[in-house]
Amino acid sequence: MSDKTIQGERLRGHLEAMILAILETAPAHGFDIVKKLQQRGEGALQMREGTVYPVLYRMEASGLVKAHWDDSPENRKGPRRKVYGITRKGIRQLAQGRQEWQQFVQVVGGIIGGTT
Amino acid sequence: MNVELMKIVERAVRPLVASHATKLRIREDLYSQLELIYQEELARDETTALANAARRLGAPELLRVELQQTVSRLEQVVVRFDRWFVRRRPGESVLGLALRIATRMTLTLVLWFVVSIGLLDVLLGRNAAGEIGLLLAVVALLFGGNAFLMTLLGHVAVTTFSLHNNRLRLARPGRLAGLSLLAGTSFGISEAIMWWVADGQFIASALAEPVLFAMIFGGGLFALVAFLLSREEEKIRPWKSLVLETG
Repeated sequence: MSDKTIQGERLRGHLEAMILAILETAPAHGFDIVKKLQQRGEGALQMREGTVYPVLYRMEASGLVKAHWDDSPENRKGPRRKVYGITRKGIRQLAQGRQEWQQFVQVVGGIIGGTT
Repeated sequence: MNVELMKIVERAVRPLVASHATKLRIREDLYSQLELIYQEELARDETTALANAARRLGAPELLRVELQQTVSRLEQVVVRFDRWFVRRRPGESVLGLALRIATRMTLTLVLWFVVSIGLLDVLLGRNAAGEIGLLLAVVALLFGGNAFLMTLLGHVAVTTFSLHNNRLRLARPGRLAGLSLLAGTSFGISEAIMWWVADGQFIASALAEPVLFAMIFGGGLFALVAFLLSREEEKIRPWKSLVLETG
């Protein structure tokens, strides 16, 4: 039986694009990013939740996302949280990533799915 | 803050080769994440909440490898140099630290001056060593001596600040003023000695301005550095004080 979860290297290669897609709709805290990834992945994504931060730091260093402190008191328990938002460069990167993904699916899907 | 959650975070972060500011940011981010995970797990089962939260965050060794890759090579080099040169080692006395810093500072300057003078002699065909060698040797010794004194004074100066309602306050202004005066005086005396070696003058009206400037600027800079180091120390203290069990 095939493993229906996506984890490890298969996940890692696409995590940046997936995070950009999550942040495209609204800025989010790391915890909320993981929750949305799991919801939109319908439970198939298996990841260590701490992993999202090294990815966010790399993306921040590349200018794809920007962090700011969320000082609003509503719906917040405990200390203030850092929220990540997508930048213009991140939006361009996401658009490029979507193009590349569609091309990848077309090409590989044509080979794997095709019959001679 | 929950000490057990802090320990989980600290296991991943403490061994990182990164600046204090970077490690503090990582600690805050991971703690914030872990606290939310823990609240979720508490709602499910109190007895296994901590273990499940730690599992969900990820093994500290694996997380550490991923986090280390986000620290630039330049930052890692600077941190390693800082640790070798000025950071106090576990179990090292303040006097030992001061001697180590002074010795390394003096030797580094001497090496730099020897190389520079050697290059000057080769390139310009001059006997630079004969001309300014004594002055440079005195400069290196004065730098080392000041490094020794500033380390000792600085160790006391950081205790003049304390945390009150999450804000750093000057608890002992008289002591800080006295220490800054000592530091400034040391810089002033160093300036006078350099003038004497360079110019043959030890006490002259022309020296008043540069010596006074060295005293005031040096003393002010000392107080500022003491404040900045205290602020950094207060932020890191809750994490540094955690005892992490091995195994």
